[in-house]
Amino acid sequence: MPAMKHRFEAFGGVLALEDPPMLVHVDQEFMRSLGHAHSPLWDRPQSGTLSAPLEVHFSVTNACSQNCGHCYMDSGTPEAGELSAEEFRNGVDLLAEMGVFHLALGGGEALERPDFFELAAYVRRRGMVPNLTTNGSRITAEIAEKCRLFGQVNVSIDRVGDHRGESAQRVLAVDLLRAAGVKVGVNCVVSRENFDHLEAMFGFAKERGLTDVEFLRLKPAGRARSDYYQRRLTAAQHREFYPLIRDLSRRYQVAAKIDCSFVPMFCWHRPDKQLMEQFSVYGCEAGNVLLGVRSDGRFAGCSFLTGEESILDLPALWSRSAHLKALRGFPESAPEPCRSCAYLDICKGGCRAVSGFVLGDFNAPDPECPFVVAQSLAKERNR
Amino acid sequence: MKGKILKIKTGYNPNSSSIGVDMVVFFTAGAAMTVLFNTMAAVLCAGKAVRQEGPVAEPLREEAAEDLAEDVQCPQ
Repeated sequence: MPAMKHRFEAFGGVLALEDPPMLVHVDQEFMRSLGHAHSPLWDRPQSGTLSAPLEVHFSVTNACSQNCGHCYMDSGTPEAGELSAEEFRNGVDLLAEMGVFHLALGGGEALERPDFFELAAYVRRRGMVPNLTTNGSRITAEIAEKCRLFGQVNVSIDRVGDHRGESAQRVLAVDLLRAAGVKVGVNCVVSRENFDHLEAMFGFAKERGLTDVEFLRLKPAGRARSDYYQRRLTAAQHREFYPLIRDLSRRYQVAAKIDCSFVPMFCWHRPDKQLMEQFSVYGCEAGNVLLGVRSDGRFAGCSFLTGEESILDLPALWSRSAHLKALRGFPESAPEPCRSCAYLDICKGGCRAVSGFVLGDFNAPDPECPFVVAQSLAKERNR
Repeated sequence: MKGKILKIKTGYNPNSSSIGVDMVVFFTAGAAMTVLFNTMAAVLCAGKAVRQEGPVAEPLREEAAEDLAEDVQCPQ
């Protein structure tokens, strides 16, 4: 059954469909023509800040037995004070009441939490779509069947070709999920080691009939901080990234996604701004379109940032939190070269987590943005 | 149908750490128009389904639902 949920925003509203899955922003007149009565939000001045996040990334546990070297959450053992099932449900209730549409559940390894499927089912019951990121280690045929409650499941696979050991289990997880009729994609963290092997990922996705492959930029968070400078892409690879995945996506007819932190590298190739806006190319929307919640209930603008405020206080803090306000305020206070960049209002300065780690300043332009790199080189030449 | 579609985001974002951006419309000529058309069709079909099967989120006005039903073939 096609279902359409909605919520009001100052500009009009957001419609959420499940089949096909999409979020559609429409103006006030469109909302009225769908039969909706006047919303008090329409009397407020329009700003770029939404009334609530569209999606929330919720870690349900920090437990994970895989010990990946680049884990951005430093996962391994459960965090002190992880939310109980009741506290999690309270948080979910608040998010549902605020009008959040999608919850991306993760960890740690979410499937290592014994009551995980009860929590995920509760998200469904509250009218939101739960999605899942997993390392695949716990996926059996029985678990795969249970995963049908998710909108989509992404398995984290950074490199394919050597289907042995842990890698074999991840591939098996993909196959079991597909056999169970679950929509499956892959999360692929792009680093110096696998940059030259991305074609194999497209071949794998084509062969398995995957929904899409999402390419994630390596972030200096968690354990990935220790060897970040050795593993991050080079400046040349950052510039080559977009044409590479465009050509591979065309050749293999596999849908490719990039994460928000790759948007500066996309902008380098001067894409059509109007098209970017119409098709929701989001740069840093931490604390606006999305929110990250740790397994102990503390939230931050995204999963790569840290905050001390509790998800259980989010309704009151959404418009008041200094942390969230600072993230949203980047375009107004952006220094050069962001200030003069035509893409500032979309890109919003690149990845705050990268700026914070590399420069010690979360409010500095992303130092790996090709425009920023080019400006730095030009300054050096002029000295 | 009056009003404007301002922005579309297709698919889900299962990735629990950052927002994914579907790049297909930038890779393929004509893909944007296809997505736009499919979006309109999906919104209109969802409106029609609400009318036929009862409210899912909030009820639509009857006359609005009739407008929505025009010109779009919805799966039964």
